[in-house]
Amino acid sequence: MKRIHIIGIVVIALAIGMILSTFADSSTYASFNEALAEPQKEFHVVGELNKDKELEYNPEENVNRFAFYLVDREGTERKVIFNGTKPQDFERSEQVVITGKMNEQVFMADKILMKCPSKYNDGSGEMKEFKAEPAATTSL
Amino acid sequence: MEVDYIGEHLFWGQAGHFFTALSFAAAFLAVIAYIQAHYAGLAEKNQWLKLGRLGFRLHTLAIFGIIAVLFYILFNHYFEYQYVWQHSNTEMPMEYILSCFWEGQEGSFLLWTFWNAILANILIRTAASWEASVMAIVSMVQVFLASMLLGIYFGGYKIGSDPFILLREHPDFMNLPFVKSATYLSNLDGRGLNPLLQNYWMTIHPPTLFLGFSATLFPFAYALAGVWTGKLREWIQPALSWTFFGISILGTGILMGGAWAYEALSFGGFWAWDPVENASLVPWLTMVAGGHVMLINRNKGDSLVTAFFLIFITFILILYSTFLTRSGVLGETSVHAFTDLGMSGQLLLYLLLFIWLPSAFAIRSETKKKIWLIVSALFTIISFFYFSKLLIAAFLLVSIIIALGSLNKQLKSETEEEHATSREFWMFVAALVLLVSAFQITFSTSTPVINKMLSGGLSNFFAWLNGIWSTEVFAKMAEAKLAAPSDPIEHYNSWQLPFAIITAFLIAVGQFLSYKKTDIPRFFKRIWLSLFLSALFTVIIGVFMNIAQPLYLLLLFASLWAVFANADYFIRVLKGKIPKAGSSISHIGFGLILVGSLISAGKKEFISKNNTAVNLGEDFPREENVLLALNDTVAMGEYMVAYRGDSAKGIHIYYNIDYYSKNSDGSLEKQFRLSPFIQMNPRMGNVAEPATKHFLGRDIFTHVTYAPLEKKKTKNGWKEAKDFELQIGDTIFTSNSLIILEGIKKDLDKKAYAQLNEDDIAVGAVLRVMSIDGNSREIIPIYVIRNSSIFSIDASDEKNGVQAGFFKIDPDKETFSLRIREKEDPNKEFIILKAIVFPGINILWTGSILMAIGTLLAVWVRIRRKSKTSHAA
Repeated sequence: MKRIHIIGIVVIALAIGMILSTFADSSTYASFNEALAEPQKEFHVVGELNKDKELEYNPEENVNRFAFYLVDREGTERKVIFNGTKPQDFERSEQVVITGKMNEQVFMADKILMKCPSKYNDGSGEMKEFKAEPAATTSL
Repeated sequence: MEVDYIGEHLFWGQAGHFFTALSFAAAFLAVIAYIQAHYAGLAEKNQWLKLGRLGFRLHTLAIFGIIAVLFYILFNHYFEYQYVWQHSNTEMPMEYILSCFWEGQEGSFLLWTFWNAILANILIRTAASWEASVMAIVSMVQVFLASMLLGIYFGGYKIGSDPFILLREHPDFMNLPFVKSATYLSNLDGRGLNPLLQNYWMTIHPPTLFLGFSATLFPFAYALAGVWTGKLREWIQPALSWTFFGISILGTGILMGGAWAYEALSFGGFWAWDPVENASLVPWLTMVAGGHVMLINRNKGDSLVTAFFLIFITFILILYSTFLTRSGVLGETSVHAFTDLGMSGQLLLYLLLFIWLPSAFAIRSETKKKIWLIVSALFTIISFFYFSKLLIAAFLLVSIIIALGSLNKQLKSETEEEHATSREFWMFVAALVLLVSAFQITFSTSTPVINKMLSGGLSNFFAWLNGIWSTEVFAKMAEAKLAAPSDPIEHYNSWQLPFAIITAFLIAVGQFLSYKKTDIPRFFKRIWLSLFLSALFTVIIGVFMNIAQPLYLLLLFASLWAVFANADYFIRVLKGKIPKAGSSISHIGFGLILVGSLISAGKKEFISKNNTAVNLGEDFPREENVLLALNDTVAMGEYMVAYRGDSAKGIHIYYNIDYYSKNSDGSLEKQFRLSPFIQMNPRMGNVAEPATKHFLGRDIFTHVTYAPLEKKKTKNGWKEAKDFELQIGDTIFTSNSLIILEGIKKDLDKKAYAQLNEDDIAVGAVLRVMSIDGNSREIIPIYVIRNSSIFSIDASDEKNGVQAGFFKIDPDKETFSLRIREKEDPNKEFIILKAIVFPGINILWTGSILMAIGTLLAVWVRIRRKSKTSHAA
């Protein structure tokens, strides 16, 4: 067997490993109910902010706790707690994508991606991303 | 009903349309003429070439025309044009007009077309015998790009998006009432430029990146022309300069994007594995791999099929990344993708065509070629009636296999296997590592596309597979609702870190290996010095910066070795001769980029730790934001930091933050002030931008994560009033002050109060409001009897947030009733801040500059050598 064949096999094995790891690492779009069924798993939930309910943010007490109510695409409403500062203009958001896990009846989000409406042009809102405090990802 | 609109400048739109049509038609003419020139006999060839050049020059002029018109209408704020209205406004500083130009998709396509045309004009002068075939391909790409600006409807399909469309004719606005008014322009202002793009990097990053994109077309065109003309080996030589030019420019463009993200975005770093960033990194990786394989071929004469593959895939990946970022597919996963303009179908079509094209050219046998063309035509017809993503994917796969297979057959040679110590063997391995790395990034970035593919039929297959062998992976694929990795940085780093380590090791040893076979004792003799130095520095930096993770240490070692070994090679082997040093310098640069990103990203430190906040538990162990109240001093890292208030300047609100160092006697000494700001933009939302203090060894990055903008606007946020019955000398406590009733004033000067009449009865209560920090003020609310009605003239102390009313006097008990309100928010300003120290980021920027210089040097030397040999001959 030529060396090039060995390299070829290694490359193919790596490629398969990558594909599998992408699927394994990838999170899934889901509704609150699906997320509740598997509370240990990370999900992306797409929904709309319930603007009638109060947004809880008291930076004097804790700058890194922001809570709001989100209605997912199935119409289920859940309280969402985000471990981070309140994104500027959050009230204006049109669509929100949150990433995180269900904890009992509350969704603990560690990432918020929000789409703000632009006044004139429907469908071309700006996307903005807000990350929670990372859980020690960069400590050496 | 026809309306005579007032103040429109319709001439410019017509001029723009004329140039757009001309650029399309002229490019088309160039394609036809160049194809004819390629097939024509010697006698006619020159005539066709002349026509092709004429067509292409006309096309180039038309592009200049489009650009000039677009700039003209942007400069003059002609908001009747949708593009001008959408991307600019009158408030915007003029220096960002360039950013407006390429903020929109049409502008960015225009920029791309422009660079292609410029480079192609250089190619016309230099290509010699390659001109006809290469320019036919380049002109074809230009036809497609020009069509992206046409904005015409063809059988229900929209072709291109017209940058000169009038606002009142744009489908989104034509039915709105305001465009029905003849004077709608009189007070119309544009929507404005995305605040994030109002940054100097945004005036140079896109043109550089697009020049890099353009540069990938030329190696591709040469390679494809090589297949077309059967000159399967000869294309390498002329294409090499273009490839390394592309590597240099595209790499610089990508790093400028990183610099922009670092300066203007709140990512907290220069690279976030955002899909849009990845989309331009991947073709760069494959182009670097391709360039190196081309070098192997130049020196050893093999690995040609790999070179073809890498150069083809680079251009196709550029198209693919254009598709990803402009089709709206990434909508939910990326922050800065373009929104869909309905051109994704068109883009996809071009992408498919360029994947298929090599297979059509590669088949040598005439009969087989005919069969394949017929199969392809049949497939196209079938796809019109029965559109299946799966079928298309299968067809493309077959095309690629046919292309590579027939190339392989034609190039089959009896070359010996490379020796395990040869330079070409390890260069080839490095190229494969880059390819695999590119594959990983592409695959992970493409989850939205994979979802589309899966839902096109494959998901049923995986559901079935999951039924037989149930795993999480199959289950996820069956659902076809994959989202991006929940921790993308971790996901990408875990794969890319080992690749970076291997690449750095290969860069370190590469130059010391010889083609064919390396003399091992000599190799070690030359390499030990750099090996020793990098080991030494790894230990020093590792201990000094407290790096403990083995893979990080290994990367540090490998990239330091890459730097030292190449520096050593430059000094000892090349004896400091600059013209030969292109590859050494660029490899030193690449090594420094790795060292710099490892140190700055791996050892970044959040100095804004919040020590007081309540911890939310195990899920959220770290706090990186800190609350800074006005004029309070807080310890952050080695600094004491104070927030000194905000100042508005135009649409920006600057938050002034002073950094102090502590002297040994405990006194504070001001070091510097940072003013991160929030841009107030009612149309696009408010955007916070960081401020950074640059030192030689590190940067201090400061970013306002939250400022209570909303509360500032509402002045009447008062708490519910409380009533108090007081005697003179009594004290009331509010949340942040005390109020003493000092006395009663009966002889008020009624003329001083606008609300009082001469015959009112008015009594004032003299209140002293003392804040906790000691300042005191007197306020006098007034009790008024007018005719038979009683009312109070309230008095307030804005600074302490207290308002008092005086509504009752009880003469028997000698008590006075006061109504006190407090401000909802005790008027204490605060901001929430994130501050990060990035050590060693200048190593990264130095490396970037060296890499760009090194690759350009190599290109320049190659061109000079070529022109010398051609002069000699």
